[in-house]
This record gives sequence, structure tokens and C-alpha cells, in this order.
Amino acid sequence: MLAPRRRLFGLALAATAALACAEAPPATRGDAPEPTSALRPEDERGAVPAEARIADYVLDARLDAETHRIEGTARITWRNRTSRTVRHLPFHLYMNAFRAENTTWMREARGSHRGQRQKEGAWGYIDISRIALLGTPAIAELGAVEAKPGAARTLTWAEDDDPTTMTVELVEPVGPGESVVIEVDFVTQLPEVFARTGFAGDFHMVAQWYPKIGVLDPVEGWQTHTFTFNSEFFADFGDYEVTLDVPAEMVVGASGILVSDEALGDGRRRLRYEAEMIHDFAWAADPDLVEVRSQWRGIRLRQLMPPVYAADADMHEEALVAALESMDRRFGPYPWSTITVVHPPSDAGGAGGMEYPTLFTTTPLLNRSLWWRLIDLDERFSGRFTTIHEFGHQYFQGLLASDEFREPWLDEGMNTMSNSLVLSDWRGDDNWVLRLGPQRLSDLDTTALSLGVRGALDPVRRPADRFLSITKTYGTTVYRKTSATMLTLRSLAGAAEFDAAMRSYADTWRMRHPSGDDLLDHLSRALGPRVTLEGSAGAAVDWDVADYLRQAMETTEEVDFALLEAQNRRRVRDAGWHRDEHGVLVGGEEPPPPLDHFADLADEDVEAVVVIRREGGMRMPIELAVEFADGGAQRLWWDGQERYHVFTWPGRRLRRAELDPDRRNLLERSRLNNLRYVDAPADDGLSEPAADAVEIVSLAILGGMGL
Amino acid sequence: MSALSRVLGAPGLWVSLLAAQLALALALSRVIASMVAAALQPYAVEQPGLLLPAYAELFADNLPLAVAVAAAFAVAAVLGGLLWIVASGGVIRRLAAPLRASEIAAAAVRHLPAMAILSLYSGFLRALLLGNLWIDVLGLGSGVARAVLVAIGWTLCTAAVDLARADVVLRGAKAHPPRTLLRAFTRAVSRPAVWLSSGTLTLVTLGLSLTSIAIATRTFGDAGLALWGVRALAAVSVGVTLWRVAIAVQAIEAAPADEAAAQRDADAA
Repeated sequence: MLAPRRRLFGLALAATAALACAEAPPATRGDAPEPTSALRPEDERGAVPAEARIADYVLDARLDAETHRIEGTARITWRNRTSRTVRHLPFHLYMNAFRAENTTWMREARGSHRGQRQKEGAWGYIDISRIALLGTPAIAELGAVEAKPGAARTLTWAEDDDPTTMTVELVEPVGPGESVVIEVDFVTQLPEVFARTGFAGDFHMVAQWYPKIGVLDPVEGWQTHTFTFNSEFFADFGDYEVTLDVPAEMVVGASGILVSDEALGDGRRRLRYEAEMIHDFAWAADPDLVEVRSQWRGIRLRQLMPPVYAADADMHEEALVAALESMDRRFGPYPWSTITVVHPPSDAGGAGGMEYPTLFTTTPLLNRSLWWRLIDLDERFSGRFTTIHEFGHQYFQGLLASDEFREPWLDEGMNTMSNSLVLSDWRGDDNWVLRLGPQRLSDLDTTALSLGVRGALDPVRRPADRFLSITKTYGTTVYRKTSATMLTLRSLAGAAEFDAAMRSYADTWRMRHPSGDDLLDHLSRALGPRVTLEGSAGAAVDWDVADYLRQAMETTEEVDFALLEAQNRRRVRDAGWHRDEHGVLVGGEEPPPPLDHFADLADEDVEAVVVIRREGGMRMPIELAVEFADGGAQRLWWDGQERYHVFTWPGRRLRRAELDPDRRNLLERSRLNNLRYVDAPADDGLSEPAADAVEIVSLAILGGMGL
Repeated sequence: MSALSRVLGAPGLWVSLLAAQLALALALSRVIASMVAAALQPYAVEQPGLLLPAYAELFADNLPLAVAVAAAFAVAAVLGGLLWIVASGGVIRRLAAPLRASEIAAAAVRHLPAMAILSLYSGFLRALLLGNLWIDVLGLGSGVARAVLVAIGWTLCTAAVDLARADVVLRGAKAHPPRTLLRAFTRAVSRPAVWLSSGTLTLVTLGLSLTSIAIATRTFGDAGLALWGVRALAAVSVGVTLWRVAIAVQAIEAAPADEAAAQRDADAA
């Protein structure tokens, strides 16, 4: 899911865009064919671990576009791949979060979600009318939903305290290695969309719309979290066979591939989709969407967008291909044969910026007005960044299916990190997300800047429901602090080493459920346990990677180093009386001048001094670069363990000192205290540009005020 | 004498107004520079091309500094407006005929209340325009139509206020009755040449201001010679504004005597 600040930029400006589109675009552009298999060929995507397939779904659904209601049946085959015996099955009923104002989700949301407000009375819910046991144990594959086996046994069920989960009692236990087939009849009423799923006019974003079985953890048992404000989703992999009965005029985008499209003759049609090894199925339908198709290495890229956004399709595609190229190379091949991008219309902004397997929703590009061009302002965070971010979730949680409730940083944070790598791979050094004239702001800058605001209230590693909406720490902590932590590790431990470690992690946990410990242990092992940081002056610092990750991810300590002092002083020599080897007092030279009197002294009587203070609570190494008056320079590291550290260089005059000169530490709270000159320069770098800007704008205003 | 030659014949007026603007802008910029330097000291920043994150951090940690920058622009706007209100009486007198500096100053003081009243009327009308109230009422809520309507309204307003000020200063019309301004509106509408030339110069002034802002953003961080370019644009802008006022002066002077007498009678009534 997209971070709130980016969502704000993604709000549609449909009316203006409409002016730009004098002619309606064609309904379909591009001719990439529908894939014939939901997965890429095995030699391209790699093997699928057989044990990963746990929950298969056969869904049969009918959409009433007038009432925005879906009647459906879900036939679920669940395999017990643990050593536990199961006597009940917990299910998610996510749509019930929107059923009343006192659900856990709505209590925290207070009627709005990321800037989108719930419409009055526009509730959504899922109502279960029947649950039957079709077979157990070791049932054969059931095929199409029409193939109803006989001898179904009705099961009892009850919603839990919060209606977003329910428990189904089994009539007999399901032992290790056994399977069970359950059939559930349900009715889903879509809410008017303000939080990912629902309708807006004729647009339907149908997500979290069917009963989903929980995940049985071999160690910790069932994981079926209550749907809370910040938590997203967690489910097992499986194959999906989905039949959608929709109004004939609907343009539909769905997870997986379309295998048949049958006219029903009563103004409706039946679409059949198949998907393999995914853990959720979402779809969108709207009669007014236009379709833009293309391909990348055999993967069908499909965009569905309102006509007013159609002109932006190429920019989104460019970003999507950049993300595919980068992530396919870095984190292993994208396994599926298709990816669908849905652009919600302007009145369905709440549906934008959300990921589902092989399908995601994006946000529109901001309109570049004449004013923007005049002042030379540009940005990449609206639209394109959303596309990169949401595609990234195909890996960070689509493929590396971590528990988004227990450890949301594993998908949002790691994905945000990968977005920075995508931007860097795509644009090189020109990876700004905001540009004003010659000035650039990169996504790394925005990440570092955001930490100062809300980055030290909650630790990263905590369940999603522990982040309160009122503190607004979720986005900063989960998305950006995670990203800053990982990118700082990458920068200090070595990009090649970090990238290799991430690749082996991705290969190991592909189509599985990695935990935070799995990732952090993997990184500590692959990169550490200690990384040696060596400067030009020879002294090295041994950095404990596991300790760094523990502090960054499990505490709220901040990183901030400051140059407390950067100066020269008289070097202490041996003036005065001293005893010689015979015990006789000798010498008696005149007292030296005070320590700060050194201007006229020879270099050998002077020493340079730098004092670094650790202002934040987090202990980690920091690099110091110094330049001397004689033109020499050094780089060296301090381990950052104590509160401060004093460096001295006898016989040298200091000119300039700078902490973290290559801006490698993205966690640093304040960078403005990182550079000092011994003799203050005439221009501190900020005051004159500010003065120039104020003078110019003031003159512009004064000229414009010639009333 | 053409309007332009009236302006070219008053270089002292031009230079004085320009100097006032430059001094004001420079003073504001130095205040901000010293505040930024005080907030940053003893540190420095050396990130050509990466000033945005540095300023973002600086302003986030020093909110009063951000407020001060915004206040500087507000002060520029307020003092810029006041400068013209204060100077208008003298400016109009000088554009009508050569005067000594002391006479210009005396005219400015004498007509200050009247100029202030007309500026208040004008400010109210412009606020209506900027608030888009009438544009929304008329249903011209977007795009080119809105821009054109704002331009028409804005230039008409400016031309009318210039005419009303000249009417007050040169013909002794009273400022406070709204009919003086209404008459100026009528005069501007009934003499399209005056409105057109005044409006064109108004838009040129606006264009110069926008150009200055574009220069500020496009050279942000390394203004260098561009700063002198903007100062030159400010000089042009003052000249263009004086030219616009001179058009109003000329229009009032050219108004038939019987019309002027009718005005005085009406005002007296």
C-alpha cells in the first residue's frame, strides 16, 4: 500500500486532464496476446516449491452492478502441511471491517483512510449463508465449480469478537499431511470506496471480497489476525480458478489470466480466470476503462485506465518496465506471465495505490500546469513512483509472502528500499523525485528528512496494530526507517555484498513466508558478523551488523552525530623546568603562549583537533573526512560507541572537517551539523542562496504591486 | 506629449522609485540571510544542487525561519502597495508637469488620504476578482475562460483606478464618493484605447514579475548574474508602471473641459 504522503500527490485532476484529451482514446491499444499459462515457463521463472501450494480456491461470483453486491461461492481446498492436527478452520472476512463504526478497523479509522473519507451510510460487509464440508481427507482435485460432489456435510461457524474473522468447526480433525475441501456461500456488499475496496459510480474495485482461510504456522499455530487499520493481508499460496458473471459492457481486469469469455445472452457475460501460486485474487470492473497492452520478456503488461488518463499510459509503462527489469535482476525472476495495472477514476481515489497478486492499482500523474513549466518544477513521485512501488509489492509480499500484520516492515519497508534501487537502476545519478530548477530532491532525501518528524516514536519491529493512526508513525517508521536502515547497511557494508545477500534471501524464501528474524539473521550472516570499515588513515572499525540491525529495528534510538569542535591549537611541548638523567632541573624556557595562540607558530608546534559528539542514542560508526591547511586530507572512522570522541593530528593545521561526507548514513537525523571550517567561510552555503531568492521574489512582488 | 515621453522626461522619479524597491528587497534579503546564518552557525553546507533537503531540514528545525521568509514576502507585498499609495499623488503630478522634488513630496502628502481611499476601493474589487467570486457565479470556472476573465477584470480595474487617481489629483474630483471610481470605470470602458494600452502594460508588469520568479527558481542556489538581471527587470517594471500611470494622466488631461466641469458640478452636488 502506498504511503500517505504519496497518496496525497496522487489525487486526480481529472477535469484538467480532460481538457488535454480532446479525442477519446481507442478502447484498446497494443496487441500483446493473453498468456496461455498463468506462470512463465519454468526455465525463465525457476521452480515452484511443491510444498508452498497450500490453499486453492475455486470462486464463482456474480456482480450486481446496480446494488454493488456480489453473490458467490468459494470452494477451498486446504492442505495441512504442518505436524499439527486441526479441529477448526479460521477465516478472514475482511470486508466486515466496513460493516459498522465499531469494528476494530473502523474504530481506529474514524471514518477516513489516508485522506479519503467514508461516505455516509456506505457500509460494506460479507455475509456467510452456508458452509459445507465437501471432502476429507486427501480429496482429489475438484476442478470447476460446477462439478459439485455429493454428500456435502453442513458445518457450523461463528464470527469472532471482531467480525473480520470467523471460525468454522470441523466435524472431524484434519491431520498432518491431510487435506480438506470446504464450500462457502457468501454475499459481499461493496462499500463506496474509501479504503482500497469498493465502488465509485460504475467503477468496482473488488478486493478482499471472499472468505480467506488463515495461515497455519508450523510453530505458532493459526495466524488469522483481526483486520486493523494499518494491517494488510496474509495468506497461503495456491491456485485460483475464478468465474465472474458481470454486465456485458464491463471492462474487467483481474489477477491471473483470462481463459474464457462467454456471452450469457441476457446482457451479461461470464469470464473465467486462472492463476497459479498466488495468495489473493482481486479484480476491477468498469464499463469506461480503456485498455493498453504491451509485453516485457513474454510478460503481458496490461493497463486499464479511464480515458482521461490514457495519455499517461506510456509514462506508467516506462516506470513499470524499469521496476520489472530492476527487480527481476535483483530479487529473482518474476514468476507470473501477467501484470495488470488498474488506474481508478478520480472519484475512486481510495482504491489507488494498492497491490494484489499480478494486479495493482496506481495513482494518476499530477497535472503539469503552465505554472510548473514556468518555474521549472517537475516531480516523479505521483503516478510513476506509485507504479514502481506497487509493482515492487509483487516481490515484497507477493512472492516473499511475509505476514503483513505481524511484521509490516517486511513488505512495506523492504519494498520502499527496493523502490530506491529501482530508481537508481533506472535513472542512475539523475534519480530525483522532485526538481526545482537546478535543485534536486531524491527519494533518499525524502526518506532521511521524514525520519526527523515521526521516526523515533515507535520501533520498526512491531505488529501493524501497535501503530496508532493518531501518531502518524506508521508510514515514517515502517516504510522509510526500514528503507533507510537497509540502504545505510548497503552503503556501509558494500552494495555488491548487500545485493548478493538480498538475492540469496529472495531465492531462499520465494513463495514462502519469511519472518523478520529470517531476513535479519540472513543479512547478519551474509554480511557479518562484523564489517570492517577502513579509512585512508589506516585505523579500522569493526562494525557489528546484528547489533546495528537490532538497534535500528527494535529501538527508537536516533542516529545523529555532530562536529562539536573543529579547531587548531598550540601543541603542548616541553617548555619549563625538567629533571635530567642526573635529577638536576634543566631548561626553564619562557612559558608558552596560551593554547589558542598558534597563528604565528610553525606547523610542528600546532595540532589539529576534531571532536565528534554522538547526539543520538543509536551507536554506529561514522566516517570523518578532514582537510588540512597544507592540502592533505584523511578519511577515518569512529565506532560511535561513546558519547564523544576526540581526534588530534599533532603537527598539522586543520582547514575543514566533515562527517559522513558521502552521505551514506540515511538514518542521520540532522545533516546540518556535519560540516565545519576552522575559519568560518564567507558563505555558509545556505544564507546567500536564501537571500538571493528572497530579494528576487521580493522584487517580483514589488513590481507586481504597481497598483 | 506622449505618455512614454512623460516617463522618459522624469528620470529622477523613475530612479527614486526603483531605488526604494531595490533597497526594500535588499533589506528583506539581508534580514533573512542573517537569520539563516545564525541558525546554521557554526556549520556550513556544501551541496550544490542539493539545497532542497538542506533547506527542508533547516526550516523543519527552525520554524520561525520559515515564518520569517513568508513574512518577508508579505512585507514586500504590503510595503510595495503602500509605496504606490504614498507616491501616487506626487507621481501623477510629476507626470503631468515638471516639478521640484519638494513639490512632488508635497503633492504626495496632500493626496495621500484620497489615494488611500481609492486603493481601498481598488483592493476590494481586486479581492473579489482574485477570490473568483464572480467568475464562479458566472459559471466560468475553469481553464482559459477563467484566465481571460481575470485578465479583463484585472486590467479594467487597474485602468479605472489610475484614471480615478489622476482625476482626483489633476481635476480635483473627490475620492470618497464611489461615483468617482464608477466614472473612471465608465471612462475606461468607453475609451478602449486607454484600457487596451493600460491593460497591456499591466500584463507586461505581471509578465516581468513572473519572469523574475522563474529566474529565481531556475537559478536557485547560484543566482550570480541573474540577480542583476532581475534588478534590471525591476527597473523596467517601474518604468512600465509609470508609463501606465502616464496614460491615465494623459487621458484625464485630454478629457473635454465640459466633461470636467460636469464632474465638478456632480461632485459638488
